[in-house]
Amino acid sequence: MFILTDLLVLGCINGIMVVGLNLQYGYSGLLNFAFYTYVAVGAYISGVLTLGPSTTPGVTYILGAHLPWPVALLLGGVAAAILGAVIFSFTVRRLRSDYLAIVTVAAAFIFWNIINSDVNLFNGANGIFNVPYITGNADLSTEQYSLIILALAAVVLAACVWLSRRIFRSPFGRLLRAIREDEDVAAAFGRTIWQSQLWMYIVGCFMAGLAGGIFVFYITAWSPSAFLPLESFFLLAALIIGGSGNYWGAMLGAFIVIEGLNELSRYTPTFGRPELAGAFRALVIGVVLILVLRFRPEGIFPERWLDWYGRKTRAAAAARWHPANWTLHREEPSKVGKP
Amino acid sequence: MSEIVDIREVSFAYGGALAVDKCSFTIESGKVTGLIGPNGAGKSTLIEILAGRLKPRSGTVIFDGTDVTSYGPAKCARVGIVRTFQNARVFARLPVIENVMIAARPQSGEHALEAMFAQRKWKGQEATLRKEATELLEWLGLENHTHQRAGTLSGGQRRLMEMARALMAHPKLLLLDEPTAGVFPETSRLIATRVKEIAEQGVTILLIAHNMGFLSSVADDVVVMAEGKVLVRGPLETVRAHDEVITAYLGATVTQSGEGAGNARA
Repeated sequence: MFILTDLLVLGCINGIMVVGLNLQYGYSGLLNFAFYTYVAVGAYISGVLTLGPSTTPGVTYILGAHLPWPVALLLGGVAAAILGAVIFSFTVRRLRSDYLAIVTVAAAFIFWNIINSDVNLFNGANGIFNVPYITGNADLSTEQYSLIILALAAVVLAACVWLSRRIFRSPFGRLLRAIREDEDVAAAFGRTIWQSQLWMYIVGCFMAGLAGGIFVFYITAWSPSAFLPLESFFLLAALIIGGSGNYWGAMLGAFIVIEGLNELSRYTPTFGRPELAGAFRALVIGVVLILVLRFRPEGIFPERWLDWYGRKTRAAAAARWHPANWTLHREEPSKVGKP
Repeated sequence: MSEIVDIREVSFAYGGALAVDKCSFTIESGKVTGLIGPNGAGKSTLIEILAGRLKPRSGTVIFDGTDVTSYGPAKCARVGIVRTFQNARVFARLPVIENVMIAARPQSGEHALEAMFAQRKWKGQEATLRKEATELLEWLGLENHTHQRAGTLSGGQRRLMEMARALMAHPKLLLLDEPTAGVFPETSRLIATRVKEIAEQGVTILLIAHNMGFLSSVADDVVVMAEGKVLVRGPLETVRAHDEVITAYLGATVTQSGEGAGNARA
């Protein structure tokens, strides 16, 4: 039973992350390999804000403020968003997508190393621990607590999906998609590209921060080794497998890839040499990614399924698959030149 | 008739190669001006300069009384210069109708916060835009493709869609870069009709074309460019008879007997 709730909690938390990443990569085409850095920042800030000032000798961190958890959670999100905005204005504004990818990888590793070695700010590699339960009393069993966190994570995930849906259906979402397809043309129609992208970067990073906050409330500890920069690649793999650009796909990807392939294997019996389990998980995810890209390049839930003027498209799709239309080459009669 | 565009001594070079060389001419408001010339004459470069994608090395571009020389593409679009591309460029994974709707400006729902939290503000505008885009697509003969992804359109259909998209932006100056290149003759006749109708609404049009038949049916005035300079300008018939034009198109010493065509520009 605990296995199930544990997986669901982690699924929801990762769902929030992938939905946030989808806003950046799926909607706006911003390839962000530093995404997990924002998760880590959100987690750290939420954690230290709920903790009181450090009492244990040798443990140092900033901002021990004893804040109520909802405030701390929101501020964690805000901190991640601010960091995102700063990094964006230094890098993304000046770089096109392929270079951006390289810079974000570099940024992720730089941040991780700073966090891992700066004892004053982040307590170095030891991280923080004993983050209080959000319910206040510590006499809950782990199972009961995980159920409470599950409710919180599910609500936040639902809110994030709702927000994604709003954006997708709005003129703003359309503009983002246009920018993703062809920046030059969007500019030729009077759009300032970086403004829209900055907004999406901020909202995506905010979601990352929220996910991090919930995560730290759940495991009640935070350390750099739990937030390796490589996790960003798993999130991206989840998004691509699930269907980049489609928020349902993002959620599905989080549950299939991160849960089904990554976390679940902690509960399955090990075989072979146990120290290779991590490598084996990465291998499986890689293979699945390749298979999806080969046979379903738009992901399991392609973006076009969200087409909200959908009905005609869906009717056309149905007609295409109708047996009467099973021919190899179908020529569409030209509709142009009608009087 | 007043002049809406004034190009003064504009030069542009790609690296060392001079593409536009102190080129000056004006475009009259409300007219269709054709821009012709052999490959490498600098026509497309000039369009790119007008649209703000390239900055001229020297010279100025005056549009509607303001100096737009230093404007970037977005700013140019905001003052009313809208263009199509030499190789029709579409937002491939967006439905045709979204491709067209995107061009309208300003759209209040394009701000992130309003998009998320103030749907009521832009729902009405969205419906108006959808209606207008549908009508435009119908007018250009694309009514059966509105919900198809733009990437699945054929070459000619893409050109029509680009025109619809450009019109959606309500341009003052419309730059059409080879609107009929690689287009089926029937479609190119439709484009000619539509171009004339657009001009009748008061939109100034500058278009690059190689097809003389198309040009003669749409252009009021033709500017001939060669090697980055304006060779001649005037109505198509006069221009066609001009010796220098024939030289630029066909080579230096074409005579009636066809003699010397082989060693042109010796």
